[in-house]
Amino acid sequence: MTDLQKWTYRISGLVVSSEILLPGASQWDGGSSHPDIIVRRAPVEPKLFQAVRKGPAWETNGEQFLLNIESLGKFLMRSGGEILFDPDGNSDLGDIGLFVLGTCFTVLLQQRGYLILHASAVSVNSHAVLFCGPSGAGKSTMAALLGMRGYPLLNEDVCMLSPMDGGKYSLRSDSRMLKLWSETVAELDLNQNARTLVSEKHQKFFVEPLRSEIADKQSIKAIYVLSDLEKGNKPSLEHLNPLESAVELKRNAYRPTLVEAMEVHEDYFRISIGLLQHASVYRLYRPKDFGQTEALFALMEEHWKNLGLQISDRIETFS
Amino acid sequence: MKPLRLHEDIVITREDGWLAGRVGDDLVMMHAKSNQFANLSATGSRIWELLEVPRTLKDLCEALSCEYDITAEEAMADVTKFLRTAESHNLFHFEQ
Repeated sequence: MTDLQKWTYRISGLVVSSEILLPGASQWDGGSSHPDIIVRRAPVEPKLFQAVRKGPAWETNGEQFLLNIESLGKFLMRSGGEILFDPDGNSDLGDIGLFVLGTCFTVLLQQRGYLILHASAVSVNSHAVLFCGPSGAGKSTMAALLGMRGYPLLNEDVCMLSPMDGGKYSLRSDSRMLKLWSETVAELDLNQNARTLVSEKHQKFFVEPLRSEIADKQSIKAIYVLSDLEKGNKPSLEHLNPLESAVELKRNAYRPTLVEAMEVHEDYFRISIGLLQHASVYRLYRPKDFGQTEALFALMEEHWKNLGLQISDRIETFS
Repeated sequence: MKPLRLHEDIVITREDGWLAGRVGDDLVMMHAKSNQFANLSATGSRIWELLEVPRTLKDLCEALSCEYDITAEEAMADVTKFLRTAESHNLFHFEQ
């Protein structure tokens, strides 16, 4: 009998031993004798024993959460430490890996009591700034642009927040690869950094970030909700009040339906309030094209100076 | 819906299910089941705190008039205004 191939990753500060390739995640060479999370292939029953809540494709008994996705497979998340996957006959293992890394990890991390935002993040003088919004809002593009300007990538698409000492909440970064549309890759001249297609269904590529940083406890200074800029206007920022901020943090949960399904509203609210003690939320109106990139950089860097973040002299000019 | 008839002996009770957290002077609130949010300013949040146990309107106004050094009539006017606004957010229920 041959040993199964295993991959070791570091995801949101946790060491993960996986029997399936997790596309775009950062591989970890620090050993995996005691991984925090195990991902393995195993038969998964289509129903849970003593389920207490159910939805169209999920059920839970508190300790365990089962997802049964037609034409993909069954996935069982147990006590924040283990993901079992049982692919359907014709499902693509690449799609399974993407699903495990996105939705299954969200369930698992929520089982651990963490808050997961649909956001990308970069580091500004050792502080995290987050860019959130629904799919297609431009989170990855914003992170890629700022990477070209010299700001290291912390997180792509998913930001996990965990408690620190003193009631603060910090970001656990993992610098997984950016996911960018082929047009964006060409526009930003990142062809050399483009790797494989994210999925056969989309013309999106995994793109190696120009700069990245891994930090277990990065303090969070600002969260920007991305909004489209009307034609003819300049990029601008709007400071949201505490109520608007709390609403946006809830709205930008990575998988809002999983917050509902797992009934973790209270955790989300508590962490959001904790986060708002030391981080502010802004609406950032930005253009979808790259015509006003210099104006966008000027706006952000002026804002970061006002927040007390010293901007490095080594930043590069976008051209 | 009938307009709320407020009088001194009406008993005011917090509705269940609201989560609350302070951000600066504001009290941000969320109702987990209805997904409704609310925000109370400094005075509103003090009223919320005082209503940790049900109280009559008269009791509530007396407590506030002592704390804020205002007359009972002034407190009654402020609290009544606040409660009429809060009613539409389902923060409290009232027993005549």
